[in-house]
Amino acid sequence: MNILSKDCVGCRACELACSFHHKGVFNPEVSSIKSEFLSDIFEITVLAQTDGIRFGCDGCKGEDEKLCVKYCNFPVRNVIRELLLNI
Amino acid sequence: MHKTHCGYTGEMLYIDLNSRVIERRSTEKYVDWIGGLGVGVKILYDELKPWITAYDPGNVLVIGTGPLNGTLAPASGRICVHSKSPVTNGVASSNAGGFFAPELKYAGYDHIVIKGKASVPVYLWINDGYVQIREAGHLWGKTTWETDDAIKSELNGPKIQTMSIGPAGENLVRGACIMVNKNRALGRCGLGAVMGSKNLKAIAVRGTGAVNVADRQGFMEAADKARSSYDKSEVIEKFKRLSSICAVPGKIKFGGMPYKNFQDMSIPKEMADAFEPEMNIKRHRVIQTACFACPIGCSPHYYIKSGPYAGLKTEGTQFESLADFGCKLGISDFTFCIKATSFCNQYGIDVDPAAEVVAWVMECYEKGLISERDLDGLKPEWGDAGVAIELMRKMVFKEGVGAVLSEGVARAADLMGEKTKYYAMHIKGQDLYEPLRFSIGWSLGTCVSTRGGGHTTGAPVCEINTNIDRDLAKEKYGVDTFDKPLAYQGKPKLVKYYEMLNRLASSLGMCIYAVDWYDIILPGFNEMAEMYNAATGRNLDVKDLQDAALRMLNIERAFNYIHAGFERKDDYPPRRAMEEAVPSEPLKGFRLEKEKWDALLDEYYEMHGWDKKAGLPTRSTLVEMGLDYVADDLEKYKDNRRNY
Repeated sequence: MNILSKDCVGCRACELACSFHHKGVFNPEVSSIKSEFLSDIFEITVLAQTDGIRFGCDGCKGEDEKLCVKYCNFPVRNVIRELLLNI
Repeated sequence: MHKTHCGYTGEMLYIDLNSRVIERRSTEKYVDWIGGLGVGVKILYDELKPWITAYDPGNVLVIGTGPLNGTLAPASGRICVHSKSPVTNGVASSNAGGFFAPELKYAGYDHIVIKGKASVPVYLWINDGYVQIREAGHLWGKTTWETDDAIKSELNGPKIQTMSIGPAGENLVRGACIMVNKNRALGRCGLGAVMGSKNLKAIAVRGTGAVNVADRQGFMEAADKARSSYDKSEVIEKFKRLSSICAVPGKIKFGGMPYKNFQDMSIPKEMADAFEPEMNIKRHRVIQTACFACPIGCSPHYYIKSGPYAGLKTEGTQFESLADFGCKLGISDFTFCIKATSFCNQYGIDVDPAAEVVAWVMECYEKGLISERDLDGLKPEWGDAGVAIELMRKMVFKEGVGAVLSEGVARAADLMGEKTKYYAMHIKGQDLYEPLRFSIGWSLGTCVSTRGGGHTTGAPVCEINTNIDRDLAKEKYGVDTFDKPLAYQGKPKLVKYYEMLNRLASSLGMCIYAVDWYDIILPGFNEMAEMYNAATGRNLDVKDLQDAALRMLNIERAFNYIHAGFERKDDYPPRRAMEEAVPSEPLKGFRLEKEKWDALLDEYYEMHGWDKKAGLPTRSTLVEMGLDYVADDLEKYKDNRRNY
């Protein structure tokens, strides 16, 4: 799943929170979510299935809320929330 | 650094460019210096003898992260670089945002210490644990933007983070900076020239590892608490929306715009209109981005659609650029400020010395102290954007008069004639952007800064914050003049507070805009202590961390005396700030007063336990901090340091 957004700022807090959920460490390489800057817009990708060292998104099973949404401090959080509705 | 390697990776790289030997060493012995800035100044102090000059191969370049870099601690993306400064001969201490610091941690290293000089141009490639010194002949002469692109292309790594120098650093322009990726500057102190002197074009890093924290639940609770403060701050709301140019109205209101090389402290209406933040953001910004883990996101990307700079697309251009290229040069054009900033970023020269030298040239030309014959035929009138860029280009390439100007305003004035010195606005040889006839705490913090002039290591910004939480401010600062910019009382205490806070933030890896420097309700000592302890597993209280920050300040102060001879006499503002009253409202008639400044310094030194006459730490102060060896050195080098 991926979306393009101008409301993301590329801080990667979502990736950090995601890696912390999966492994209890900060390591964006294993995150289910990633944000990449494409010149003047961001592409946000969420993996539904595990791919290599990247974990598939489990909707933050066991957490009170989805951590990528919780730690996003920008308007794109609403877009991410919607993107994850079906997970 | 810590035995469990939580917060830290526990390893640093020692690289000798002469022998090309690369060593991995434990960082454990530096644990009491916290990280980033603290470890940087400690290594400088230990490694450098006073006779080593900034451009000697024996000088070191220390690139450092902190224990919070790479974590969810807010705004934890700052990287520190330290060296002996070619600008001041004292401490070079600089700090930039972006993503380099966390990438270095993910690659497995807390610090990189670089010594020696490569026989040919090289760059470093750090790919997880693997380290390589690569030839960089094909990159020499390229701009920082071209270098960043070329390295990512040849290493096939779009996620690689770089720091590089441009032609200014290669040509040993004294005010050369290091650029992180393309638009984050390790600006002042001439660090780019140090890299150039080592034939080191760039450092590239890619890391896929992890940063651990000791107490997972405790760390997330501490990070949550710190992160919860940003949405409550009106100052941050404006900053998020408009970047640091949101400061324009406040600076105009209080008289903090250094017009025409600081002749006045207010600007004409047409310039105020041209720099109005809302309009410029709406007109030129295409997107806003953030540094690593930052909940603020203050970096606008601009695209200029029309006019002489049409087609230019770049990130950055903060308030400092408006003050430098707009106010100081008398150029009422926001797009010129974007253009000049991108020029500096590409060619690798810091905006402050670039602008100050041009402003000084314009003023000396106006006053007939420098003629067009001295300037390769150029006629630098106020407001002439074309001449400004041409002068900067000459500085970068040391072409014609550029060879003189590239030395920075203090040395250029020394070469151009006695009468021009009065108009050279610098402190300890460091070119100024900071207005001084403006607010007393800010001025004191700038003048006593161990970097030379500079507002990031102790100058408070609260004096002009009209929305400050007064009860909290009084409790934190212990003085009640925190929002009275022209009051002298209480300001040393305010400066000491931020000397500690900003050093701690820079040692942990946090941005000073994201701590209580920028708004008192943002994370302060308590919150930083909570995150630090949870990350590292240590158990330091606020006093311990404040003491660590004061140790840093004292060792910087001693380094500056031993290496550059800086004493009390060097903590005074430039003569203009004391001898000329501000000509226009809102500060009409105001100037800094010598007698009051004398008393201010007395109080400041006394508060720090420093000798008032010399402005230096006393033996008892140093011994109390465990810095006996520094006390010994101060005695050893007293009177004879010039003999080296």
